Amino acid sequence: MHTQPMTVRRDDAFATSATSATSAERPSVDAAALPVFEPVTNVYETAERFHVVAELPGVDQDAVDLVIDRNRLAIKATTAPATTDGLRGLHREYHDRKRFERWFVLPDSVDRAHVTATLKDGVLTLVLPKAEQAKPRRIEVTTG
Amino acid sequence: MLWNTRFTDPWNDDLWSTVRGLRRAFDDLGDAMRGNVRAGEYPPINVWSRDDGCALSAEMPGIDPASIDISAAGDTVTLRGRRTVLPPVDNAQCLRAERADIDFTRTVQLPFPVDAGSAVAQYRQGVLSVSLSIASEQKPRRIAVANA
Repeated sequence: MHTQPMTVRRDDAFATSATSATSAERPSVDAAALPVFEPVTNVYETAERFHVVAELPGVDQDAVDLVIDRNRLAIKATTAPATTDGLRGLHREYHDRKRFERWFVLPDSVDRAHVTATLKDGVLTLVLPKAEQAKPRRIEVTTG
Repeated sequence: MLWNTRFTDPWNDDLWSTVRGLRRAFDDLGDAMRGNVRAGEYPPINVWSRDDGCALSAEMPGIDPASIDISAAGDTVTLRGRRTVLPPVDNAQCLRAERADIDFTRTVQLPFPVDAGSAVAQYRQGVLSVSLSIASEQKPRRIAVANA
């Protein structure tokens, strides 16, 4: 008897994990749960530091949760949209009530104790300095 | 070689990020076909009505509000602007680029004419909110009944 091998889709296995959210508008089993999206993010590097720039529209500063756990940076946030009392929905292209979740694996060169973050106009900017030993150093050549 | 790819990229957040991206693209296409959420238009806009007018909100983080042009005529509201994504410092190497420069023009047709002079706009937390009143000639008018 031939049996079909069972294929486990790893992305499905992580779909319910709070640390590997998907950006798909997938209805939640719990109707009260907010849809979860991954923030659109750019990452930059200089000789001195890394910069992570993530879009978190509609998010208050107090609603951002940033955690560095070992070599992983987790970004979580919840929007605080304006009240829609007395308003009737006509057209919707995005969820104004939602959560953002995303994590990144950090390079070993990051100085995890001195990471800073700012939020302005819905854009979160993290500055991750490199550890001193990870920064490029010029080596003097002397005559032997 | 397999180990020269994403496994050594410190900013790759997940082994299956490519798979999730493909699924995301198909989900967006499905949503667009269902008409629930319009994929691919920037900025995404929500519209509400109220008794005396309407309200719009648009997600556009990281934009200079002074560069946003809002115009209204009749039953149409148009948003124009440009998002410029600059590196945080000079000589920064971009390792991941999901945000890009974009010139946008979005036109929304409302179910009733609005009074352009009544528009009030606010940009907060990267979300633009615009409030417009219904045009005065469209407002309900009470008609007095005279004795015959």
